[in-house]
Order: sequence, then structure tokens, then C-alpha cells
Amino acid sequence: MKTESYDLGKSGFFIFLGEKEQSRHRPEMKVREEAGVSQAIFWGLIEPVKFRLYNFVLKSLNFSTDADDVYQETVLHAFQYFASFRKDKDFRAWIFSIAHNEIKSHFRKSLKQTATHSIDALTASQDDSTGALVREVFRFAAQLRPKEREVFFLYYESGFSIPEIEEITGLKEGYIKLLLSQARNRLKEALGVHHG
Amino acid sequence: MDEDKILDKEISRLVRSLEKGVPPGLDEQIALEASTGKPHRRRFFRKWQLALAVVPGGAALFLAFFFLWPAFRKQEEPQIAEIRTQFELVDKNITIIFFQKPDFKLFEED
Repeated sequence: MKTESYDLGKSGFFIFLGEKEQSRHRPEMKVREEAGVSQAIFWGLIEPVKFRLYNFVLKSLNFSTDADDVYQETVLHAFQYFASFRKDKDFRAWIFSIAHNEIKSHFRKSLKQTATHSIDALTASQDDSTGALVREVFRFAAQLRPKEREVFFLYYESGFSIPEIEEITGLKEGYIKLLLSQARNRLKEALGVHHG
Repeated sequence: MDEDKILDKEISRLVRSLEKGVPPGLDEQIALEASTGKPHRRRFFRKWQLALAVVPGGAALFLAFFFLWPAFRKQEEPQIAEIRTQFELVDKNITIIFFQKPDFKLFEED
């Protein structure tokens, strides 16, 4: 029995238990089985992060109807390049950096503004005070530039630390800190008003 | 600093209070595309981009044809329209000029 473990960052470890030893004497079968094993590992690694990944994409695109496509492209690209993923690296940061590239590519290629879901409609089920605060936060995020919005959601939605955001986006630590500080200052006032 | 942490927690709570799960069927579709190795679903604007790429491509081909065509074209032999022969008799201050036109056969023999 062969055991492989992968670091999932804050999500913990994913451990794959598989039998790779049995096909040692048949090389062509070994290649096929190893590809299958790699696929199984990939789907096992993505399972605990996909919810946060989807929400990051969705919110970074301002709840655009294109979010499903960008999420799909992210997962398919990650699947395609999984062989290049180094086992000692954090899988969560790796796949979010692919998502970051896909979002960037989306904004670069997008010729027209795509339809977005209304924040008011999305917060309709929440009670009045929370709903108003949530709307305030998302209205603020919607005003940000795509790059800044990504930093905002990587920090507040996906729970990445500043060094991790630096690794994912390639932005300088000082710039990330400045963006977060500006967001805090803007929201402090807005949330303070609502808190009364 | 503590104030920042409290605010961060509050912002994070508000951001995470509005969440959506991965739409049903999307994961299955992704898994199917990954396993069959089918090309990714193209978005509408990508098709347009592809269509628009034909325009500069066509223009480049036209310009290449326009500029390279003379180089490949068989060059016509230049026609001699006139042969001019000039003699100067300096001491007599006389200049004699012979004009040979196409209708003038230089080596014509009777």
C-alpha cells in the first residue's frame, strides 16, 4: 500500500491511500494507473477548497453570470497542469493563483459588461440590519478595481494571510497592506454608521 | 491594532454571510470535460475575438501580397524609345546630333 500526503494549507492534509505496487511489472499499465491515481489525488485535493474557490471567483467578478465559466476554466486548467504542482507547496494557494490568472484574463478579454446578480436580491433573505451592512460591504467592493477587489476577497472571504496573497497575486506586501488599510478606513465609517 | 482585528473579523463575517454553493451539475460537467479531454467551453466573447482576429490577419496578408507582388512579377524588357548620338566639333563650334527612332532601322540592309 502506497500512501501520499498533500499539504492543503489551512484546510489540513489530504492523504491518498492507493495501490501502485501491483502494476510494477507492466509499464504501460503503470502509466495508465498513475494517471488515474493523479486524477484521484486532484479531485481529492480540490473537494475541500472548491466552495471557497467558487465564492472567491463569484465575488471577485461582482456576482457576474460569467463566474461559473471562470470557475470551470480554473478547475480545468488546474487539472491540466496538476503534474507541475509541487507536493511541498500549498495546494490551496496554488489553485487560487490559477483563479487569479483566470479572473485577470477575464477582465482583460471581456469586451462588454456582463450581467450581474443584484446585491439587493441576494441579501433579501437576511434581516434588515445585517442585510444593510452586507450591502454596504459589497457596494464598497464593487467600486474597487478588479485587482483590489481580488485582494479584498482573498483576505476577507478566502482567509489568506498577506504573505499568501503576495504569493497568489504577485503584488507587493506594502501595496496589499495599503489596500486593506484603505478598505478598513472606508468600511469603518460605513459600518460605524450602521452600528449607530 | 486590536481595533483592526475586530473590524477585520466583522468585515469577514459580513463578506461570508453571503455565499453560494457550486451550482449543481457544474462539478459533474467539469469532471466530464476533464476526463474526456474535450476543449473548454468557449465563451461568447472569445468567439468574437477569434472572428475579429481574422480582420488584422487578412489585412496583413493583403499588405504582404501588395508589397511582394512586384518582386515576383516577371519584369518586362525595357523598350528603347530613342537613341541619341552627339558629336561636337569644338573648333568649329558645331554640334551634330543623330536621333534614332523605333521606325529607323539601324542595321537594315537593302
